[in-house]
Amino acid sequence: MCSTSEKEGLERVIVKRQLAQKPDIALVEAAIRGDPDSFTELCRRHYPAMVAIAHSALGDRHLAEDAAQQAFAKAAEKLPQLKKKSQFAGWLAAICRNTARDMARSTKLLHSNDIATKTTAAEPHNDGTGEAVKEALSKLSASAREVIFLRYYDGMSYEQMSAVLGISEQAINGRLRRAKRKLANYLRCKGFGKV
Amino acid sequence: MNKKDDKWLDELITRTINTTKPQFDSEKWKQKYPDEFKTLLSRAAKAPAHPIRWTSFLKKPIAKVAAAAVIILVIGFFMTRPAPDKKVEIVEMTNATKSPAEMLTLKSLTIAYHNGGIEAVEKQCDKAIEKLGLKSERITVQELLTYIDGV
Repeated sequence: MCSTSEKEGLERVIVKRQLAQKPDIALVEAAIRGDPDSFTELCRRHYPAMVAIAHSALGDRHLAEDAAQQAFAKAAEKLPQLKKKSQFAGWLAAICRNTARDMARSTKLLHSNDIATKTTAAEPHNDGTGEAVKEALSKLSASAREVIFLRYYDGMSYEQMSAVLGISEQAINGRLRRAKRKLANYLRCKGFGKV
Repeated sequence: MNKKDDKWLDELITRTINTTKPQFDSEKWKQKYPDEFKTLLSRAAKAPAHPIRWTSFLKKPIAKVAAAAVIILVIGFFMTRPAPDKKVEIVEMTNATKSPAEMLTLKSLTIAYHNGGIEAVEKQCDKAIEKLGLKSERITVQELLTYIDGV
């Protein structure tokens, strides 16, 4: 026999699973009608992508998480203003991008040098590789850096990236290739990638 | 860029920026942004139980067909209906150009009736009789029919 708390817990798990299977548009409509669970599911679903976008602009993981959460707060308020509900991810990404830029301005992190030095909190290697990659990333344009972060941060598919960035998969492929070519050229100049 | 380039670059980027996947903590977010969460909840009270979804209704194929049919009918109605100026033109043309015999055919009289009712039919008959050069008080229906039949 299950206790009441166990039953409630089980019900919540079932509701969460059901929500996880719903498309964005259904969740957005429910959230507009004031369903907090649907909004939470949307946040959970898009959190990694938003953190990646903010991280590419701010260069700091903790600040990026703050920016993503702030973007969700803004989205919660502005949600009824969203005209094309199917484009929720792109709309949210735009809010997150603006929030991150505002944060960067306020914390004076907008300069690329600062971004380069604060790309990751953790230092995986001490051989200078990480620093060189960070520096190379800082040389990229904001949009190119964003594509790189989305692709490598969360291992997003082109389809998911297309929804978030609001551009075609072909455009993403092109943008990613150009960004990687620039990175490769820069790193090769620094002595990496030579056999 | 070749595949070799791709491999070493992928490794470098992954090593540098690939961190643990961020997890959204809804409880922390609610505590951090209580006003926004309240705004979200307040919409539940305002929202109707069963909102009217005109947009989704209009997306259905049957609605599209019905809308197209209505548009076609309206256009058809206005195109087939003669303008008021045209009516006068028809009557005048009928009177001016046609012979008395033609003026009294079923087609001409029908047109006259549609344009001006029974009065227009009478007028057309009077004009036809005038053209024939007969005085209306002398002619009988029998004589008129005899003339029309050409007997």
